[in-house]
Amino acid sequence: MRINRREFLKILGLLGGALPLIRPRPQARLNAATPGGPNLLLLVFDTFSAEHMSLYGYGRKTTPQLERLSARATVFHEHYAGGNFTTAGTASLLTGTYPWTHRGLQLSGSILNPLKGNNLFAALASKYQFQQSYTHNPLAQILLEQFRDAHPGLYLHPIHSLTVDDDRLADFFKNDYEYAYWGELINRRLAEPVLPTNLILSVPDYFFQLYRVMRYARIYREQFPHGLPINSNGTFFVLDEAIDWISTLFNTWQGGHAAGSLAYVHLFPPHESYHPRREFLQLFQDAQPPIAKPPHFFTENYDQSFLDNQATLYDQYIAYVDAEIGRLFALFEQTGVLENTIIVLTSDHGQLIERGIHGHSTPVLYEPLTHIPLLIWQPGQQTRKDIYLPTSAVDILPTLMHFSGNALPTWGEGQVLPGLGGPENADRSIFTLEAKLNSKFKAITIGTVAMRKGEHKLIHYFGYPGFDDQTECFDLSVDPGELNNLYPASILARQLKEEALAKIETVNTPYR
Amino acid sequence: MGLSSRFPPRVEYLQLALAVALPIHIWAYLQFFSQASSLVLRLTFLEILHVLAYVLVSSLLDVLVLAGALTLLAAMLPARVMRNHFLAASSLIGLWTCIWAALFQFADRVAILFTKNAAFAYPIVLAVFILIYFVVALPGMNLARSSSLIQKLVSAYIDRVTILSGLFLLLDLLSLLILIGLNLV
Repeated sequence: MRINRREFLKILGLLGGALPLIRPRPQARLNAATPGGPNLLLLVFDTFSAEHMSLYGYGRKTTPQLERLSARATVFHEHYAGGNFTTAGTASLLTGTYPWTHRGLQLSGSILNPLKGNNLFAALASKYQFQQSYTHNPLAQILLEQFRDAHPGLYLHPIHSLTVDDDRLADFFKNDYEYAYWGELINRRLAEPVLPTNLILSVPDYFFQLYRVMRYARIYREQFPHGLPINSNGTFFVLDEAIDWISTLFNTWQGGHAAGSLAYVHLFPPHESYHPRREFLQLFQDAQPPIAKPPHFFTENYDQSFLDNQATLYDQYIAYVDAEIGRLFALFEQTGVLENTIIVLTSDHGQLIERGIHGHSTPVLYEPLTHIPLLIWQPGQQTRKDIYLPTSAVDILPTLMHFSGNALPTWGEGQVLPGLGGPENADRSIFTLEAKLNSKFKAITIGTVAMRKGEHKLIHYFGYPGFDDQTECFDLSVDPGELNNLYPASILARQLKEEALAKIETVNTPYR
Repeated sequence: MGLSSRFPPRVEYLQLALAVALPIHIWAYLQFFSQASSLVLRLTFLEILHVLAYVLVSSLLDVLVLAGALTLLAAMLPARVMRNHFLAASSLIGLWTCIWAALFQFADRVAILFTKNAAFAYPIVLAVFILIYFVVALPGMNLARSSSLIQKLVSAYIDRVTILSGLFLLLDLLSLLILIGLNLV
């Protein structure tokens, strides 16, 4: 009898105390013996917009499992990403700093090397001595490799350990992942419309990629009629396998009493392209699509029917993610993992499917792109707690340090989350930055900054040729769809703009 | 006849590698520098050189694979087809392969020109590209065998590119050593 990878993982899960899929390095295993407080799971779903979650009031019932599970969680209703794509958003989450500080400004970029020691893993090392991470996302892996360089106690599982096939070059040259990634990216035909530098071998590679696409489409046709989920590097994966692996990992820790263990798991769904499992493709077909909004001046010219179709697929993909989250918690409940594990569920950024735009690498920082979920389950919590104050991804690191009894880092820009021991300041300013077009090493002169303060949100575009000094301001309490621009008529909007500009000037000072 | 006698002399293999190294490296450097403006935003000068090392190692692989494949082809085919005029025939086919591969990089865009239905257009466009390759390559091989002018032209081409191609290959080897040092030691 042939046992496939998924069945194998299930057997491992049933055995409970079985070894994790990938054995940790010997040093990491030695560290695991040190007992501590509860374990920690930081679970990130890429491109998970709070504006598309029924948990936060979205019209389509996309997250019934999270609604159910939130009965024992602290739910943050106004939580914001630090950036609008993986590098910037993930770096903010894991460093507790905004992009203008960590400087992970570009797609596939990294943070400033001198700052790589300022990360969540190093900061929590005294509490969580056994640390593992896994991501489907090669952009997040670049950051994790940087953090591992600074903090060797972090064990990184290779991306291909939970994919149905391997990515190649970048894994082989593991000591300099970022450069190998770039080498691979520009050698192969991965970043259309950029041509590969590799002239000859890129041709058979092209045919090999076609073969892979057709092969996996055939193998997984029944479960995934729209194709198997695929990451930004063209590697296929099945979300269910990652969920099984997380369950197995924590069961193992549970069985071995490896208290004081931390796992950072950054899964690719519901990032586009959207590949819901078959049963979710039936959902939301009859429901009203989201309200159409007028095209933005940075429109990508997608027509409304395309956007409606993509929004439906995205919602179906979220429903699939939600079901898998529900399954993970059911597995955790069976084995008592929830009784000694802090679980933080969030995202790196959201997704914009409106105003002629589809995706998140846009300068347009509306709520669907910046507003992300944050739920925290603590051992013993029996009731739901709702927090409506604006919070940021940069707050997670200080909050986890607060949980662990450590002093907060001097380099962080966040604060302990309200409701979990932090100040309840309704007038605090929360930022999201898009600055891809700038050098990592110079002042930020072109970009978009979004600032949430109280009920208002300011979006300021600066330096764009033809669109310099454009400002929008919305009162989200009465205009959650961001349709009524209060700038320049409102005095408050003008004040918010002054504050945002002053902030940009301040953060640019070291680079002037 | 022994197996070794089916392969060309080593010096001719090296000359073939030099012949194809030029277009392969010109393409690689062109593409690399076309992306330099994006790289300078995120990487230091040394880091950019680091990425370039990966590009050059893969170019070296390109050269070895293409020259190796043509040598193998010559060994497998009857002597009169390719082996008797190995350098002229293999260099000509190698150069055509480079030109064709450069054109092939635009296959997706060609497919999109005809129709937005990629699933329909891709197989046809790919088939046409493959057909074009053989339509040019087969008469080319025949020409290299029969035309002394072509043989002279190829020989003159190799004479002129030897130094530049040799320099390219030297930089490739240096890059290979650097990457081995950084990753495997």
